[in-house]
Amino acid sequence: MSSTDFLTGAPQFITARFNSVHKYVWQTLITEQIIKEKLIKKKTKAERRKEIARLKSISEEASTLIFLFLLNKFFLEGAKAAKQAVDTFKDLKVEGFYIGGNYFSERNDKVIQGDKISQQLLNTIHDEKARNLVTHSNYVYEILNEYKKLI
Amino acid sequence: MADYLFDQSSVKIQLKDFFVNEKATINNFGSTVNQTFEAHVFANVIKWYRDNGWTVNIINPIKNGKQVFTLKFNTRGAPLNYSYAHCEKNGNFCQIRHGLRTHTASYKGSNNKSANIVCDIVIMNDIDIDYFSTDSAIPNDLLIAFGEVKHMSAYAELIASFIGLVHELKPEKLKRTRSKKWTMKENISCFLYVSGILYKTAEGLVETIEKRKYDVDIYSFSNPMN
Repeated sequence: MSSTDFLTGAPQFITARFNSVHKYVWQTLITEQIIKEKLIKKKTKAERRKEIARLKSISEEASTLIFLFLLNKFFLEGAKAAKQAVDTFKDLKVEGFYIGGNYFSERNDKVIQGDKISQQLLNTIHDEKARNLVTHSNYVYEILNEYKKLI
Repeated sequence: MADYLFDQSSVKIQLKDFFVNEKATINNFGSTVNQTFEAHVFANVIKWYRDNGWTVNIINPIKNGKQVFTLKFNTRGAPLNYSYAHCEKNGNFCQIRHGLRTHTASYKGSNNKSANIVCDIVIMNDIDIDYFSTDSAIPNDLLIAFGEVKHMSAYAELIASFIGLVHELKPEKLKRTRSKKWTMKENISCFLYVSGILYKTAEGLVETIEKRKYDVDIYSFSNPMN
């Protein structure tokens, strides 16, 4: 499966939101300086090509994981935003609010919808290491740092 | 494809299945998530004022004889039809509104066309604007601060676009204000709030903004308002 094939069935707003992750990870993880440092040590063209392929492979795996991390955060942050909004408004004696036909109040289904989708996402990921990296990281740079060790 | 920390190929297959199976639910979530974040930021600004000693009351429009809390999520609509927060502290008053049309600083009443921008969040002087229509804009001198809300991660162009908004709406905020002696004022500063992260290119611009001592804030997932 190529780098973004798994997005084929994803809603458009997801692909639009996350399609820059791959480029971001490559630029952050595999800087021009790193490429120069790595390639200068390789004597033949074949060795250099192999090294580039290795770096791309690391970057692609990091991208997939960061995509998962950001997607999970996106769902959780959506739920968190909804909860904080209803809680703050409740302090001001506002019981709930509508977005279109959707009513947000207390901890109703709309308020916790992001939590539920996040759980579905994590249930889908059977690889324990991947799931742990997604759930135990707080920031993107923590994941990037794990992959920097592999470079 | 080599695997380093996890089995990448199986995860990609599982992700593909997840999108196929959950597409409808994700779409439903996606249809309200941007507005949810706008509501969250509006609530956060109100919270900021409460936490900073202001007394806050929510003023609601009357619908069918009843007060109904109503948020505005598009550029159209008269202010009278939407809720806002009324704030008071030590005899000072202000209003926190959202989705409000605001004249730019350079606009003059004698101009042929109205120069205005709909701001996601507006903190303004406490005046009655119930007679405003959907196309009316508040005079710029009533604008205390504004907030731009984006449910996304920030790249350099977004930061630059926000600075452009500040230039049009509150150009005095783009002076060397935040020197060592600077302290937080009674009112919030103009801000951009993104729900995601700041990409490297955005961080570069933010660093130059801080060095230029501009009186603006960039809030994000890793640097929340409250």
